Amino acid sequence: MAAPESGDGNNGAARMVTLISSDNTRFEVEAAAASLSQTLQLTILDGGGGGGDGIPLPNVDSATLSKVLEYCIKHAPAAANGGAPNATAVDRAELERFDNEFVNIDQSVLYSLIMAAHNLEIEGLQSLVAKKVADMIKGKSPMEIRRTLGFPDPTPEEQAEMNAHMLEYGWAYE
Amino acid sequence: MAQPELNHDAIIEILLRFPPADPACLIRAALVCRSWRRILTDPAFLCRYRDFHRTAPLLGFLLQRGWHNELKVSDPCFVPTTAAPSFPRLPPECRDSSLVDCRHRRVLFQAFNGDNFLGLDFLVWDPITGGLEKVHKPPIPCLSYSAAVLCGIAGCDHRNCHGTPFRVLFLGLHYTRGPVHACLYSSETRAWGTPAVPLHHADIDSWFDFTCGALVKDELYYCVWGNKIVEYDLGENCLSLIDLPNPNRYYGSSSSVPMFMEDGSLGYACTRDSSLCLWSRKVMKPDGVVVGWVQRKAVELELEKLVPTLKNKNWYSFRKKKKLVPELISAAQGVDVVFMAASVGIFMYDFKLRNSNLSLFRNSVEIVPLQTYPFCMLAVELLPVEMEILPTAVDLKIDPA
Repeated sequence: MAAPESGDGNNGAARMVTLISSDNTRFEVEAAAASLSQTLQLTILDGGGGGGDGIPLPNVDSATLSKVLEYCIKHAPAAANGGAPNATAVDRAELERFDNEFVNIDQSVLYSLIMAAHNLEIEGLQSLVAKKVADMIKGKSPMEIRRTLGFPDPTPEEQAEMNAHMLEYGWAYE
Repeated sequence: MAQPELNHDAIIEILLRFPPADPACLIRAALVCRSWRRILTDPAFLCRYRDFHRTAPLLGFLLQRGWHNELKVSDPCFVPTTAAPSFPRLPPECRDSSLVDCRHRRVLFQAFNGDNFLGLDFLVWDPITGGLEKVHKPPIPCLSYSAAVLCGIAGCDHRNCHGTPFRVLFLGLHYTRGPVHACLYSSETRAWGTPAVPLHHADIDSWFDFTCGALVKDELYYCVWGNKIVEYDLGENCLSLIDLPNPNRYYGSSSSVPMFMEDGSLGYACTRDSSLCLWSRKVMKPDGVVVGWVQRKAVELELEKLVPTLKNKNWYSFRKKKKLVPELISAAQGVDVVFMAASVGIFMYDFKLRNSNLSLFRNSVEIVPLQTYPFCMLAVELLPVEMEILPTAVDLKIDPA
């Protein structure tokens, strides 16, 4: 993905855009970073988000948005290099270290992130968070997965269904 | 703070990242709730899952054992190499049959046609759909043969070729010293094609009953005992011979199998007594000129380490042999795993692992394992049909209390 061109008459400094979270907090970031979001990229290419306007994001709260932008800012330079085919091993290792630490967070934040990454269509972030959640739950039993993800307790009918399946697929629990 | 609810698409993204090499993960996930089960049994999800994890893992192997007069348990059976769902039951027609090959989600059997061994027919079984098709013997003379079943769609990536047309390749040896005949069956025309021009060569000196072949692109390869690999070109319908990396004939105990390597090249694994060697054929890109063989690995197998109770075994005192001698019998295609038969059972060797790459599946009964047919597939593919027909809570009459 190529970085979007800077706006008219703004060639020296990096172009900035303003994003507004659901709770009305304004975030000013470089257009290149915000453009990691496929959803925002079009608006930004059309010249939106500059000056006093800002792009409202009614589905993302400020805590989540600041986390999302932390990711975008870190990954923007590599993305600008066309997926960084010429990045050095050091750069890649640094990004990997950042990613590992980045998802080492509270579960509820993780879920907010996955939804935000989805709404904003940030492919790398979506993949990173989905992988983290998959790693968290893949070794767990169905009940443990339900608890981890905060599902309500199963109804008796659902419970009976689960029991029947467990009989059938006993090997998956050994 | 209440947890935000994950939407459908987010859950799909998470489930896509469950590892296919550990099939139990997705099975457990299928039990979490109905909506997850709907996702996992949706063909669209399976398609994405296959694309995401390109190579299907080895689930296990179909085992053909020798005949045992008292136990009468020579039926083919499935041996899982990972925690895998139970394999679909063999249809009754296949239980008394011999396994011949297994590829692209299909299993090829030779049905015994009364007393007349040479009047053989083949059965092609699709374990997922349960479909069974009979294929009559090809019109070429043979004293011994090998056969292969494969998907019949040109350019198919073989990640989801269920119910598609298939081919059966028949390779027959007229006498022990050749010539080799080849003939290809098409399920679309329900007929055998024109036999290939027979291959004569002084180096062919073999029986090759039921040996495992390797499919690399459009060519099938079979090892002929001794010196050469037979190559059959599916597109051109022609046979040729290629040289082995170590052509000197060895008079000790040796065995070999061709294999389709994970990197897409033709591989050749061979044993000499208790050492195992892996070669791969190097091809120059882009014109495809064959450069030669490169040795990838050479290891001394320590099979006895996996059999601590060896000394107490009757066969040991009987045969007075210190070392177990493995015989290479098959290779799992595309995953760099080979299988070896020995008197105690089947040894599996995984070339990709750094250590503990050798495992043993012991004989539960005193029947010599003859051949294995590795089965690679995503375990979750075995799920959908069964999951749908499971009884509901109402059917089970479980008291909610």
